[in-house]
Amino acid sequence: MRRLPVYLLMDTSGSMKGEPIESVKVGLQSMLSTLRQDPFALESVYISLITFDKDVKVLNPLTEVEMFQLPDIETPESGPTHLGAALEELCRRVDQEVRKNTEDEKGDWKPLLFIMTDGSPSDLKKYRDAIPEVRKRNFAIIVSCAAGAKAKEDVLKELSDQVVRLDTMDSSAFKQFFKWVSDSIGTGNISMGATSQIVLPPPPAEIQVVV
Amino acid sequence: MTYKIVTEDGLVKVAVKFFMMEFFGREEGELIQLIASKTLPAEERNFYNRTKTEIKALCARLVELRYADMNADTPCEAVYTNLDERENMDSESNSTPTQAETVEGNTPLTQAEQNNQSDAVCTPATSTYAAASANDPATPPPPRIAPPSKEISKVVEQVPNAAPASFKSVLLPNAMVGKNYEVELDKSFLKDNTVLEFLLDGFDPVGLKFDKETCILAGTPTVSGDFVFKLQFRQSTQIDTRRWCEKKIMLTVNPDPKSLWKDLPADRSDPYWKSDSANFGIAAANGRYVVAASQRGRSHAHEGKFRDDEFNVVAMENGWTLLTVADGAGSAKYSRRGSQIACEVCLKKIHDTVDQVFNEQVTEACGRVKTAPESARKVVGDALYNLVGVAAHAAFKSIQDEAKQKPTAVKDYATTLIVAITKKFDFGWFVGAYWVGDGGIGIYRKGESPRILGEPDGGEFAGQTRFLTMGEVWDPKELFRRLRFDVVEHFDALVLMTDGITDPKFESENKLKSPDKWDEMMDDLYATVGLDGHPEVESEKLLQWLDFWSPGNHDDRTIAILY
Repeated sequence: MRRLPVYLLMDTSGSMKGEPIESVKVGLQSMLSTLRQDPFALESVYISLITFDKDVKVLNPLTEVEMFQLPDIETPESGPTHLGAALEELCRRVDQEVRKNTEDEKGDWKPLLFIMTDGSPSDLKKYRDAIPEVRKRNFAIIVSCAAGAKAKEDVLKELSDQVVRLDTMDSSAFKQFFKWVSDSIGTGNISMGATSQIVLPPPPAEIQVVV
Repeated sequence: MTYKIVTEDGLVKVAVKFFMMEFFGREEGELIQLIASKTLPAEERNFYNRTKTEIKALCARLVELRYADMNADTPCEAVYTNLDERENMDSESNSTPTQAETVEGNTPLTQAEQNNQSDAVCTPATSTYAAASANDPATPPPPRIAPPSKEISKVVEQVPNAAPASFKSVLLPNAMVGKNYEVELDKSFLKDNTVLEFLLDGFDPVGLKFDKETCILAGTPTVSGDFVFKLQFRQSTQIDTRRWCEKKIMLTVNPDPKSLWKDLPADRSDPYWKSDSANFGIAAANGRYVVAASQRGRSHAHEGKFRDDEFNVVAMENGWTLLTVADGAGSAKYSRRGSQIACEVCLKKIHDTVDQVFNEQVTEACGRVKTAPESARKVVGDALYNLVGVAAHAAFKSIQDEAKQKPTAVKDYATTLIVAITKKFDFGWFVGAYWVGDGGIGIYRKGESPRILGEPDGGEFAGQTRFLTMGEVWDPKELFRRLRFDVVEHFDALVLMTDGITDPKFESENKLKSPDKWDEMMDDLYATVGLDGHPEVESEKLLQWLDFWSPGNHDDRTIAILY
């Protein structure tokens, strides 16, 4: 069966502590509930949740929506944001988990990547070195979300054109963001065909697309 | 002497134990109680004051890692290294000990343990391991395999959401509506001597039952959603044993995907409107029959989109039977029309051009296919090129014309195409084919390997394939590559399918060549559709057969069978 692999990279650095990370958790839970009501997502979407602060943690390896359980997400008191290391780990996971078409086995749909960060990568060189590696993994969508005032859009644009901004980091904003993520993943958007260019649904009011 | 805290569960605990024992010659539980009761002898207390940050840190780390029972057999050497790097451990631990804290306040362990049991309303007065050592090794802790010692790793694999040391089943595996569910809740806790009484119910609305004896929660859920249940219990280890404690248990019940798929009609007013399904049956030459059917897939039905698949069948008086199936690209907005044009124009062209000359060329060449195979194949290849290749190209040109008129891009009509032409000659059945895209075509005979007339086009990822409308497939060498032929004395069925059928029934290119997989599908068809000389009614049954359930496989489905 063809699976749609979705990778979520979430910033859990110190600045996310408190309301922001709680809002992310609520948003993620809401996204899961939505996906569980979507027949295509329930059967075919597989999600991996990876967090990054000083360390990169694979909280969930690629798991089907049906079995997915949101773990506890912790943030340290303070510390750097190692998005570069996260991208490196992402590439390792993709190589391990995403199935390509072989003569024996049907491959997955091209994977999707959603990144959320409220700052900029502390390991900038590693981040920049990782970008071509990420491109090699053939993601159908890469969306970066710059949350809050401190997030640097320009840096995120180096990875992908699709950058959106959340002005506030409250629960309403994150909920909208994650709803948009579920809409992008669900039936309405994934036409079963040779989609080389997936078109994202229009984002809600709380999200501004960075041109 | 200094000691490093390493991050693996068992090793930290053992570190504490041996640390304590070595310095104070005491069991750690005893030590904690001594500290709490402030009766530590002076010299030990001095030492303790010098090292209390280490001890506190150790204890905090222990609690944070939610230790299980210790293994007294773990060798100390595996654990001890230089403590100078303890700073690492400190910055990672959530509860950083402060100098201001003294022993006189709460014992660090119990306080930290309370902080971690966020859900529980009360905590046992003594820690689990203290109780264990107090009870002495009459019942030794269960043996545990010591994990290898590791440096603090940069990338940490999933640490499961561990429940506090008491009740472990706080997050149950997900269930599904209509699917049998059974899980055993933390029996070792519920049946423990210290648990005087417990209450757990409220599952009826979900359709499940909990058995207090076996601690099994089972049943077939009837509703979907996220549910929270409360386990209430009294423990003998509490100060007030009459007091009820609570733990939340969470369960997610998924809906059955079958119930979620909608069936919305497509826009009747659309200029390129096409029916959601089609079926056709006819008698062909030499006592054979053709049945074909095409059905809009669940994913298109869910959104009210059109069926993009198509088929066509022409049974000619001169003995030739022509079949074709086509699958319009999901991302191409007029692909339903593309597949339609391709099927109509291609077969019409073959119908109009196939002639006696072609028959003679084929007969002559196949007569010497054993003696001079190379040149025979060349002759047939050329003949097929001029008949079928040209017809497929005519289909492409028709699509181009339509696109120009619209006007829009040719790729908006992108479609795959599989064509087969067959006739019985004196030398046997001749089958010629053209194939671009995915799906499959094979000659089936029970007890033999299926003869697959070509290779599917596929890329590294699902959904990547080639289309009739792509310029690259019209390069002459490419065209030749897609033309195949075969000669067989007998066959049970010639089958053409779009990937809506090959994906669920064969899954991969290799399995398309598997006689077992073909037997599975054909046996199913013989049993449900019949395939014994009643093409009209059989084509209806074939259409119904296309409704089979296969999770993850909801594309349009089309199949054409000559039997």
